[in-house]
Amino acid sequence: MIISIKGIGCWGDGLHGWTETAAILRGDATHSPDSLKLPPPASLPANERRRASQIIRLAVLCAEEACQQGGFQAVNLPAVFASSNGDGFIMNRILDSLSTPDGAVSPSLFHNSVHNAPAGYWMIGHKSHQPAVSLGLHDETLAASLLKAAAEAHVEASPVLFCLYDAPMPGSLGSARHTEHSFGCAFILTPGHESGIRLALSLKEGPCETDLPPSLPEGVTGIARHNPAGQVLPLLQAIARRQDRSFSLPYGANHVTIDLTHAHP
Amino acid sequence: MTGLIITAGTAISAMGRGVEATRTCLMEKRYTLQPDTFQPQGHGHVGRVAGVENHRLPSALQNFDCRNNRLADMALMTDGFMEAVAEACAHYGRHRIAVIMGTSTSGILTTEEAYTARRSRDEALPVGFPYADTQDLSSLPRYVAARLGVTGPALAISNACASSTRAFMDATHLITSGLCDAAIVGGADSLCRMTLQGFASLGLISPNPTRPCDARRSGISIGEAAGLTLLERDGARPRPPRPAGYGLRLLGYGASSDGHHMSSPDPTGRGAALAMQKALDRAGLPPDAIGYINMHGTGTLANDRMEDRAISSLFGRNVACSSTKGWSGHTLGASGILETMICAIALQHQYLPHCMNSETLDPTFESDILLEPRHDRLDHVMNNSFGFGGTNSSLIFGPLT
Repeated sequence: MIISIKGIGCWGDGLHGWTETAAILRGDATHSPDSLKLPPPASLPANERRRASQIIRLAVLCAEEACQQGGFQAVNLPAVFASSNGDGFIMNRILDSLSTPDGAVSPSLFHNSVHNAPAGYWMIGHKSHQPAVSLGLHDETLAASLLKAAAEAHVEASPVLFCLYDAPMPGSLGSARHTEHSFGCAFILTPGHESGIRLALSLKEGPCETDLPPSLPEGVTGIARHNPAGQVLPLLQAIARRQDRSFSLPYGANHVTIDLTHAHP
Repeated sequence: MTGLIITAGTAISAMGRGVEATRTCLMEKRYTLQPDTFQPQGHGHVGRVAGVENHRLPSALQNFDCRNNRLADMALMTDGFMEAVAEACAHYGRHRIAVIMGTSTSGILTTEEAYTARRSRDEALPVGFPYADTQDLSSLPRYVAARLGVTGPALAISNACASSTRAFMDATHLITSGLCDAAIVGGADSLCRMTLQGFASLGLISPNPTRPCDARRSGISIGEAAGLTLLERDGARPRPPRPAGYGLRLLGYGASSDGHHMSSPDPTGRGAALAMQKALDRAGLPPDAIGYINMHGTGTLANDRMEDRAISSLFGRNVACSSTKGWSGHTLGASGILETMICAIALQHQYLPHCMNSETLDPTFESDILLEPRHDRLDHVMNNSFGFGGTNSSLIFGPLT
């Protein structure tokens, strides 16, 4: 299955947008880790802006940048939102509340707790009626969701917004699900190979080994290793360096292969 | 048209285990909701499945033990579903069968109990706490795959209350693009404090058993359910003489977003109507070809009013509709799969169930909402699900002839 990447967004700890991230991944700039609070995305109405949690901001900022970079209007894009942990900050707060004697939870935390909250905010921000699916598959979220997004682009013959994001789980939950750093990435995927960045995806039987390329900058390696969404960083590095490369991602008893090529003018 | 058929299907809920028990419950108008004794300070009513507490997973899969996977396990042991999957494996190969499951809260009850057992806030959970195999979304599809012995691509769809309806669209994408030959499609959501307290915090839990579309409706009753179908291409293998449980033909699917508000539906019903229109377009059917709509019909003031507007804008008064949540309660991410099985019952028996518990139709409603069951000729049925985040999904089914 062949798809093209038409726009990229990328935000995370010490990674402020795709241009800056690409420079870091090429080795042209250094990565300085930070835990900056993310700004509320400009596309959200005032109410949603105030209520948007950090992970909602992360996902929406990535999606926003991918649309701008690719020259796509959000209202024309069906979306696939993918996250392993969802909003761990909210889950931990709700679980804390439920463990108190009266067990009452906050209504706004509850409606933000659904896995599809970032997709909902994105569609509200753009008053979009496009469909969105929100999914997750633990440490195999990238393999599962990229394959699904590519299949949707092909079957529906439509560009698709793909948005992948994860963040650490605080509190007691964090002891059971270790994640480090916030990280997100979005692509506009189009079916076929019109131009530019091309991915050939295949699902193959049997397991695979994955190793992070030694060329990833030091701080970025931590994100790639300890954040499920960070598994996309080796692919992003090859894109930033315009290298043609192949990757394998474990997917249950199988694995997904990604062959990246660049159309050279 | 999708070219896809359901050759095995089952569901369990407060209505009963399996499609025959569910059919009997509908036709005999059995009363199934009960006061919420699930939590100490419970109020309102719930649709609770009997026997979950005593159900045991196979010893080799004990790591997956949680209420949600027990519910899924009870469902997959019903209606000959496991045998039907085994036959499909023999034909396609186990690696060619995907598992696409919808859930909103997966096995979070296990984590709720672990939090309550802590001595202090932020204390680490016990070493080896099985987060990945219980609360994590992937727990459900990985459990179902392991139990059924299939190894194709797995996905957990979490679109709030539209999760298992939307799962049919995602399964269609995987099958149509050739990533698999067949898919186990369904979902499970089980009683937990988060859902009961969360909906209570929004003032959406009805003090009385829920009565969708009634003039005096006052909110939802939460329920739990699990269901599974086997979805495959028509003509890809010799069809079994009879479906396991009920069979169906998937004619169309449609999905949309409201783009309006996180927890209130767009009162104009525009997003919901768009999902239904897309499903009609995909099926290549005019609105008057639909004989029955199983509504999302949660019993809240806002949802039912919005859904009536959306339906009447497309269908006028020409299509009979009802919500069956007066029996099952609102089973959240599993409502789509449970109500898909109710659609199968409607088609098979040419029987249109009514809105249980509802006596006086909201006088402002304009669609043909059933307060009594009806026997009628039925060729195509529609199933609607809407969820938080403004996510809408609609499916159209025909008989498996």
